[in-house]
Amino acid sequence: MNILSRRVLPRSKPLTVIAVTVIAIWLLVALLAPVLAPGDPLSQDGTPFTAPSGAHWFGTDELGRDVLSRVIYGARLSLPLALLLVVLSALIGGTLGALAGFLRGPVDGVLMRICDLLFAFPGIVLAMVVAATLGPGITNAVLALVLISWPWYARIVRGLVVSLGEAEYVTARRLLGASTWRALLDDVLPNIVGPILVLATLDLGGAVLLLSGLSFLGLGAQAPVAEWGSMVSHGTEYFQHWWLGLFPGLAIFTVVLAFNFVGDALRDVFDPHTGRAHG
Amino acid sequence: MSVLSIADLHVDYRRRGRPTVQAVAGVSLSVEKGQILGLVGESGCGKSTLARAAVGLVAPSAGTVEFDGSPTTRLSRGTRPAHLLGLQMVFQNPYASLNPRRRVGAQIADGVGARSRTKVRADDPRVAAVLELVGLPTSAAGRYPHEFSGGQRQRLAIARVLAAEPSAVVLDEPLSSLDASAQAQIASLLVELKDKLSLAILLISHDLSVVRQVADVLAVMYLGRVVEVGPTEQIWSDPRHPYTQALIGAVPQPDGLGTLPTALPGEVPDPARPPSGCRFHPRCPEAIARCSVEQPDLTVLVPSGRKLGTSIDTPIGTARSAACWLRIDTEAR
Amino acid sequence: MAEPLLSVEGLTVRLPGPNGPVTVVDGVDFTVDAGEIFGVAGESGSGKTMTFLSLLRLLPAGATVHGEARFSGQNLLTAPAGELRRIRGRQIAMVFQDPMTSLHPMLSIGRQLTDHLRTHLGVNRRSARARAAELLDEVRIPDPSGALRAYPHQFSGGMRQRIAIAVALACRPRLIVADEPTTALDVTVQAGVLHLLDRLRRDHGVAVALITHDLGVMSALADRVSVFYAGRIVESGTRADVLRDPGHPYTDALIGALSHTGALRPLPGSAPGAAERPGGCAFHPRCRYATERCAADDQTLVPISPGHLLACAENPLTRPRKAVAP
Repeated sequence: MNILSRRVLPRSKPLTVIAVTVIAIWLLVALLAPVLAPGDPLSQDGTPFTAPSGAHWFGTDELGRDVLSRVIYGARLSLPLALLLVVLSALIGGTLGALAGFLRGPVDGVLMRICDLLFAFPGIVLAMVVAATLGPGITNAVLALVLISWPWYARIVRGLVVSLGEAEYVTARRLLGASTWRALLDDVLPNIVGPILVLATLDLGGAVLLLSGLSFLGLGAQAPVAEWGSMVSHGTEYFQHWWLGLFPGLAIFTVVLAFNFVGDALRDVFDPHTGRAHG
Repeated sequence: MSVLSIADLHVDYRRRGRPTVQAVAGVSLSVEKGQILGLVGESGCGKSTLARAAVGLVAPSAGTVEFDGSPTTRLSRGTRPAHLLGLQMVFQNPYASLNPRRRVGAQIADGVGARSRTKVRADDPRVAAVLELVGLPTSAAGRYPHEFSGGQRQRLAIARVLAAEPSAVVLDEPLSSLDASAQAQIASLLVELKDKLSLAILLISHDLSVVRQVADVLAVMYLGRVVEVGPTEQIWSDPRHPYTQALIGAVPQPDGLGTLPTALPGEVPDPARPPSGCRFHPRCPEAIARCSVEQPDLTVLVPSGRKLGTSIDTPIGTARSAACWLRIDTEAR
Repeated sequence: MAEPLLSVEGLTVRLPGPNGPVTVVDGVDFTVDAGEIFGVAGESGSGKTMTFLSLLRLLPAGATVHGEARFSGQNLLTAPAGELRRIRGRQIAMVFQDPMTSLHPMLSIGRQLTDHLRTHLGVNRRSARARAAELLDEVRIPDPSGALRAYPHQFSGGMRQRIAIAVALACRPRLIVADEPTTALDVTVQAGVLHLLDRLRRDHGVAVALITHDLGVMSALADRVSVFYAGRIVESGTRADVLRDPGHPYTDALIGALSHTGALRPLPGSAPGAAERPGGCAFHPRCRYATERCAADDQTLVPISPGHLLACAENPLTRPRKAVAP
């Protein structure tokens, strides 16, 4: 375990710091968008298709809107929605998974078969079907994505509850008269929080990507709202005006990568062999 | 007065498509107040199953376990009945039996609050008191299990159990994961606690050389059955059952004499297909015809020469008994 | 006097740790003669296993080894990698506590033994098969030809350890390093494996470095014993010297912990980790005979009688007897 921590920590530390900084910058950008953005993301007062210049750092789009302002305002949409998506999935999935692992029997069977069923479909296709049924719109896109995301949490939490529930320290606790619920709350849940936090952080990047993906396909954010995915989608229609797709694309890229690095770092922290075990 | 008494206990493991494994096949034992009963046997003899059945972690298929005069029940999803909280268990691996993410004090506090069913704080003086009882500094309460050595963790596991003020404790191989000096320390701690708290202790181990130093009474188990019971020193100096003799003979002595321990031929048979008659007969150097046909029961023995020939159903306590036709014929009372 | 099979001088092993390198073996000297059973006693973390892993150059990356180790004329610590592999395969074999360390779970016993024989001895399939059956018979596996077709999981722990010993014996090594070979076994099964090791030494003259914490096992087999504590040898001598007349309080305490007479008197405390060894004699904080100079001075092994070496300033156990003897 010493070898592991020696290998992982020094290599991931600078990366982790950079990743956390990137996320912090994006959060600030989202928070301070009206202050930071040079203009209104919706106003069409620029010349269409202006290449990046001193006046428009990221250029303008087909309607003459400032791409930089739109990327900045896009953070206000993508980040909170991604967070909402992950929190909802983790809460729903985690609760159902914990119930399945705790109650076992038929409840467990039914829940896990539902998970299997949802796993069997390619996620994005299912989300498209649901989003299309509910009607295009960013809220419906989030709902559709929660539907395909929660089974991951359910399965992992169920597995942890089942395996930790059989741990000797839980048995010892039960012999001391603790009810199964008490043992679950005190002894099992704290050991689950770490892995779920790691999964959720890693998932945040994915959520940004999925939301952008649905918007890209026209099922998420609707015009004229500034959303990274739909901006990239529009950008693909004008390949010669590369700045339309590149800058929102870079925004997605940096956010996704940063959350992945932070997730990896968290995993090391929560791994009892590399983290607190050194005390 | 026996605190824990096990009568004709059977535990079967049934698995679909496989023959039923009789892990425990009719065992009777009892542990008195202020007594350590050492239950020894080799792997696969069913001693751990017996331990788990004794505290209600495994359901017996027949027989009873009584604690303080009332029958025990299997630990279900619900809360363990209050009258059973005085019967506790210490596990083999102190790395697995303590929660790595909770401070030691909080885990011992679970034990303190067990009887009253209240939430006890980790800084409760009773937590400090049990830590002292097992020979650890009271500052241990604020630390996590991984900060302790194996021997200290086993002390912590014992402290948590003692916090519930038990009258009987079952310890399943509590020494086997420890270093030699930690083994001796924990073993002498058990003796000390037994005397100080009048505990009834069922100590389960494969290691005869450690158990014989602490147990008042020894029970030897082979393939699901107890083959010999009696006061430790008597069994050690004069084992009557051929298996006990083989077991004692196989323990190498650190006497520097270079004598090889006696080897026992063969292997422990598959408990799903136990031999007929006495389960030890295929490996027994002294087996007679009757041994392969009829299963001997534990029978109280008297010093050789007297022949009385009545067997009792539940040989309990310190009475010298063995389950062997050779002895029953000549020595039974 | 004949050259020893293995002679080790000033062996020091350092492993990388979170706060810089830690010394796990600290200047160890010993010899193993051909055909003898050399016992290495000590608790976990005493450096006894690391000593032999370093001789076979099987240490984790980052470890540094100093000192000298000569095995039948070759320097183990400086031999080229190819040469060392040949020595490891053919002349020095290892047996571990868990036989599954050396047995592949998915290959039949016959396949493993014959592959091993063919790689190292270059014999053909047919004679490798015959030799494999011979080896299994040698370690008293019933029905050797049937056993060749079976897989490791079909055997009990004791039988697996016998098979692992057969694998070790395959190339007729001159030294077997047996690291806690019976620790995982039941006593009655252990007794059989001890008989087997004893017979191999008598019949084939193979030397065995027997690493064990169990002084009972040591007493049954070893010709000479070295006792390790905190990376050093604190006492060494013949089996009778060390086990019947222990000079070091640590040896005495270990024997006392197992003694069948008298009350249990456990040694207080626990062995220090490699990074937290106290100065002076590393045992002094746990020693009931310790004086000030035990904490101050490093102890080196000095002879107290021919062949019996002791690293103890006070030497409390043998001194009275010496005073009586002329």
